[in-house]
Amino acid sequence: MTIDQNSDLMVAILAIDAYNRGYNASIELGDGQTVGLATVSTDSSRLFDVDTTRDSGFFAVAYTWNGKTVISYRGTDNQGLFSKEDKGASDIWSGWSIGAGYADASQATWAKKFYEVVTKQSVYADVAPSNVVLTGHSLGGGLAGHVAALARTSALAFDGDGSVRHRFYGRSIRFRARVGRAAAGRRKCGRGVTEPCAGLRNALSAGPHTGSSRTCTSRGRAV
Amino acid sequence: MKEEAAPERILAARDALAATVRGEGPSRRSVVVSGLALTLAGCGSRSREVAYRFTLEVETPEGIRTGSNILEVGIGFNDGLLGGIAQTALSVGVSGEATVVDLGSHGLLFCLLSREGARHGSLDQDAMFGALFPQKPPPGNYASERERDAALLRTPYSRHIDQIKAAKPKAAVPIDRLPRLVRFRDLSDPFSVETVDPKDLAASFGPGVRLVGATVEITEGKPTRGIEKILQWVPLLVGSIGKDRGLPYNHPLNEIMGGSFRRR
Repeated sequence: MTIDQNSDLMVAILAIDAYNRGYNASIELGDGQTVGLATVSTDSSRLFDVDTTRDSGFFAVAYTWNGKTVISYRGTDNQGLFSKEDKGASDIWSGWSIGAGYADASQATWAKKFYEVVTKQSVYADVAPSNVVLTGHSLGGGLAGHVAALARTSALAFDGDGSVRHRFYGRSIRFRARVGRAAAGRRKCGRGVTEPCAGLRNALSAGPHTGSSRTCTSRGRAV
Repeated sequence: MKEEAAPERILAARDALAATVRGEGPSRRSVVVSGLALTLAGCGSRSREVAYRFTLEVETPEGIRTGSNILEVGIGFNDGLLGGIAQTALSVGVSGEATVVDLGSHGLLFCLLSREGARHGSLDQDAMFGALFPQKPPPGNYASERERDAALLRTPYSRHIDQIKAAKPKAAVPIDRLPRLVRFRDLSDPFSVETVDPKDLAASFGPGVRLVGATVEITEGKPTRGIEKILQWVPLLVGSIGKDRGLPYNHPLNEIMGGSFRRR
């Protein structure tokens, strides 16, 4: 099967690839530095202290692809409530809590830091980079949307958090993203790829920071 | 307790709770829904910790040299009441440090926690336990592979781990499955690291030096600590050794990072 290297499916593959590298990798990939035409440029374990990021359950990979930088955030791979921190922290406390309105959760902080190191500019920079795409599956999709909203760059989230309340500059902005399972390869990603959730875009367009976030659903309906 | 003494996360959680009470934070509905989701998702099987002794045996012209230390692998089960929300069925992480073999006048051999990407079959220590002690289907006569696989899937992996912990078996590690082996031309300089071929130690340490074998033995005890006494820069190493050098992703200096030497 040939995959259109410009397609959202390729981004979906990169969203899943973040599960297969670094600590607690799902699959041993061998010496894979490339995924299709995408080349892995770095990951969070090579930039930050492994123990500290693992304590937060955070992992992300950056790729160069089609002249763009793609940042893929790993989603939930530890849903134990009482996981020991030294074995990889529970994503529930350090990640899902972002969806409950706690924007200072450690995975959100690491997601912003990773973006800044890879793009070499602040998430609060006046001019957003045009060649950066953020993606992720599940919790990773939520992280991608969170950072994209701050940095005014684009994100393509798969199976992302159902609800993320994002807060900055003293305002509270709610963004909802109902998404499917396309990235997991469990169902086909069809016509459901939509332009940003209108509520989020409208809410953000009035402020100093605007974001662009697309979501993918498996059922072919707008979200 | 003084406020300054409280961990940052506790203070942040307190602030978030206060904001919720004031109506400035998440709505009460999101708090209730989140709490319910946490309870349903998080109530899964109890995680397991397995300690094992990792031993390397090296032949030198002066005799056999052995290096050994204890590591611990933690295995969590993503099987909460909401089922497999996590993308992976297990959450696995190792605690401990690289194994060191003192080869006397030939130098020190390090077996890292991370694998060597360029060597096919090389494993991280995270994956060592699962690879050496795979779960097998319960004894029985199976009409087909499918039936055997179904029987295997019906057997909880946690039970397999408990049986291994009780039996405390010992297994040989195939040479090509070893994590990355390295040496340093200068122990005080991380950039002097060199990858060692496990099938040709003589190329790095001189004639007559040969890796005899490696074993993993299930044991009890806490992970061995103290590698910073040998490599004093390890606590200062954040990320990979070569992270600021613009090297390819799979360059050895990029594959060797702080977590290759020790993990909490």
